[in-house]
Amino acid sequence: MAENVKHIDEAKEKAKQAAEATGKAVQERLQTAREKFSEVADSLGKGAGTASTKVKEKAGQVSTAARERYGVAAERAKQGYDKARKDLDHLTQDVNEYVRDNPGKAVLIAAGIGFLIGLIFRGRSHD
Amino acid sequence: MSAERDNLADELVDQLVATDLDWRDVVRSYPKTSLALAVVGGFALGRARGTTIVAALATHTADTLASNINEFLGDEVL
Repeated sequence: MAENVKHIDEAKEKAKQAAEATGKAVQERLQTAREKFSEVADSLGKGAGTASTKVKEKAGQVSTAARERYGVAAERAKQGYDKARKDLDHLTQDVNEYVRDNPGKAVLIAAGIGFLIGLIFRGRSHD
Repeated sequence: MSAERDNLADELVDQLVATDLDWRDVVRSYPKTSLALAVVGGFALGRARGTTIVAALATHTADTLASNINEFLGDEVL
C-alpha cells in the first residue's frame, strides 16, 4: 500500500514536470511566433513606405510635365490670338480705307449682302 | 470703267437718299455704322420683299436681253 502511494506520488511529480516542460515549450514557440510576426509587420511597413515615396515622386514628375505642356499650349494659344487680332485690325483698316474712297459702292455692297441674308432667312422661315 | 461704276453706284444711292443729306460725308465719317445700317436695311428688304424684287429683276433682265438680241438681229425674233 505504501509502495502504491509512492508510485502515485512519483507519477504525479513526473506529470507535473512534463506539464511544466510543455508549458515552457509552448511559451517559447509563442514568443518566436510573436517575434516573426513583428519582423513581417516591420518589413511590410517599410515596403509600403518605399512604395508611397515612389508613387509621390512619380506623381510629382507627371505634374511637372503636365504643367510644362499646359504652359506651352497657353503660349501658343496666346500667339494665335494675337495674330488673329492683328489680322482683324489690318482688315478693319482696309475696309475703312475702301469705304472712304468708294462710299457709294461700299454701301451698296453692304446692302446687297444684307439683302441676300434676308432672302435666305425668308426662304427658311417659309419652309 | 471702274470710275463709271463708282459714279453709277453713287448715283443710285443719291436717288435712294434725301437730296439735302450729304450721305458721302456721313459714310466717310462713320463707316462702320453706315455699313451696319446698310446691311440691316438690306436684310429687312430681303426678308420683306426679297422674292418679289428678285422676280422683278429677273424679268427686267430678260426683257433687256431680248430687246438687245432683237436689235442685234434687226428683227423681232424674241
